[in-house]
Amino acid sequence: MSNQKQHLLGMRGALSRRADTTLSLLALGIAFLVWFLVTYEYAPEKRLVTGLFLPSPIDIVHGTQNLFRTGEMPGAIWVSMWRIAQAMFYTILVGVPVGVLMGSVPIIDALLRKFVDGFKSVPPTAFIGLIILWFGIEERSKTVFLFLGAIFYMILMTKNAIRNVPESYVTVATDIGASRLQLIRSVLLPGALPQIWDAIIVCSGLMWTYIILAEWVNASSGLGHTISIASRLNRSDEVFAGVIAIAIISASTDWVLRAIRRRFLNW
Amino acid sequence: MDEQKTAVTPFVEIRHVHKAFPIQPNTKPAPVVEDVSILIPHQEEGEFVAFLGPSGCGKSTLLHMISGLLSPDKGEVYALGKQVSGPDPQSVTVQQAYTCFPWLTVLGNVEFGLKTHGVEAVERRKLATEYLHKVGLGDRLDANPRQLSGGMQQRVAIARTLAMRLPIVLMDEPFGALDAQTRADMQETLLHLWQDEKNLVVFVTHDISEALLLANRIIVFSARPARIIYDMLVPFERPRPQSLLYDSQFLQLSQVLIGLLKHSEATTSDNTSTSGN
Repeated sequence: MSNQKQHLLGMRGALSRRADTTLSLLALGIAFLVWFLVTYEYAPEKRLVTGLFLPSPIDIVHGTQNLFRTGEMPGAIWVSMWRIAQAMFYTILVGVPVGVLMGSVPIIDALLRKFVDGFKSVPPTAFIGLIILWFGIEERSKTVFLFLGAIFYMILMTKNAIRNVPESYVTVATDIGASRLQLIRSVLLPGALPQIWDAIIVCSGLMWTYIILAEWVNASSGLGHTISIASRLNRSDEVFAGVIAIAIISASTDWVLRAIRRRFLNW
Repeated sequence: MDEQKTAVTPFVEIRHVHKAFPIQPNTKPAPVVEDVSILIPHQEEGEFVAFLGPSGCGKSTLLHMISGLLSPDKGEVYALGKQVSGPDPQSVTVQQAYTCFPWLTVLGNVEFGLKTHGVEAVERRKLATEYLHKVGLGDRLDANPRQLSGGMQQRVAIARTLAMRLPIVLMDEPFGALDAQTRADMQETLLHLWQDEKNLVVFVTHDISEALLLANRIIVFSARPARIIYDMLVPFERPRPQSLLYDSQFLQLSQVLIGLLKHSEATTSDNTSTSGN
C-alpha cells in the first residue's frame, strides 16, 4: 500500500519522497517570499505592512541579535528550560507510578479515574489565581502550573500504555510464575516503556506551550517574560524572536527524545 | 495401566472437567469442554502425550486448565497429585504466539523464567546458556528476539520453558505458525531434547503427522465441545527420524486418525469451528 506510487492528486496514501519534499519546501518558500515582500522596506518607512503589525525577517534577525547582545535571551532560555526540566521531573515522578498502578490494578483505577478524567478537562489557566494563592508568586508556582498542565495527560497516557501491553506477555509471565509485583516491574512497565516515552514527548511539547502563560504573570525571567515585555513595549520583532526560540527549542527537544525512542525503545 | 504404575502419583489426572464460555463476544456461554477425564500415569522415562483435534475444538482450553491459567466450571484437575487452582508452579506452557519479551536479549528471556523461580544469578546464566545451546541458539545469546525468525523465537520459548526443568511441560500448537521445513527442524530438536528431560510433555496440535511423530500417546478430541473420541498408543520406537513419515504403518495410523477427525466433525458440525482458542 505505502510502497505504491500515488498520483499527485490521489487521495490518502503517500507521495513519492521527492514530490513530498519538493511540495513542502515549495509551500514554505512561497510563504516566506510573501512574508518578505509584504514587509520589505521599498523606501524608508515605506512598506505594505508596518513593522509593528508584522516584522520582516530582517527585523526579527535584528531583534534576536539585540536580545542576545543584552544577554536577555540566553538567560531566558536557560530559565525556561530549567523550569520545564523541574516540572517534567515531578510529572514523571508522580505520573508514571500513578498511571502504571491505574493501568495494572483495577481497584486503583476505579478510585482515581473520576478525578483524573475531571481534572484533565480543566485548563490549568483556570487555577492560576489559586496556584498563586497556594504557592506564592515565586518560582514554585511556575513549576506547579506546568506540572498541573501536564500531569493528568501523563497519568492517562501511562495508563493506556500499560493497557496496550500485549496480553500474551502477561499470560506467559503469569504461567511462568511471576508474582504481581514481578508482573508490573518486569513485564508491564518495560512493555509499556516506549509508549510512556511517547507520553513524555507529548508532555514536553505541552509544557513548552504552557511556559508562556506560566511566565506571563508575575515572572521576572524566562522566555514567556521576554515575550510579554516585548509585546508591552510594542517590540513585535522581539516577540517573534522569542516565539521562534521556543519553537526551535521545543522542536529540537522533540527530535532528540524521538531519536532516543527509535534507538533504544523500539518495541 | 498396570497396578505398579498407578500406585505412583500420576503426572496429570483430569476428572470430569467441564468448561463453557462465550465463543463470540456478547453471546451466551457455549460448552467448550464437556465431561473430559484423562489419566496420565507417571513414567520413569517421561511421557509425551498429544491432544489431537480439529482447530478450535477446545483442546487448548483443556491445556490451559492443566496449567491453571483457566479453571474448570465443573470437575477437577490434579498435577502430580496436587489440585490445580491458579497458575501452577509445576507446569509451564509454550504458547503458539511468539512470546519473547523484546526488551530482553535472548539470554535474558530464558533467564526470566528461572528468575521467577528464584534461581541464583550464576546458576541462572549457566542453565540459560546451556539450554540455548541445546536449541541451537548458542551463538545468538545477546541478540534481540525481534531480529530472529519466527522459528528461532519459538526455539527461545522452548529453551525458556525447558531450562526451568519442571515436571510438566505444556505446548499449545507451538509450531502452528511455522513453515513446513522449519517445523520439521523444530520437531527434531524437540524430540532430541525431550529424551534427556524425563518429564511429561502435553502437546496440543491439529496436525496428525506431528502427533504421530512426536507422541507416545494420542488423545483424539471431537469438534467443539471437546470430548475424547479415541485414545491411542503410538507403537513407534525412538529415536524417530523424519523418514518415519513415509513408513507404511505410520500412513495406516494417519488414515485411522483422519477418519476419526472427519467423523467427529461430521457429527458435530452444527457449530462451525472458529479458531476461538
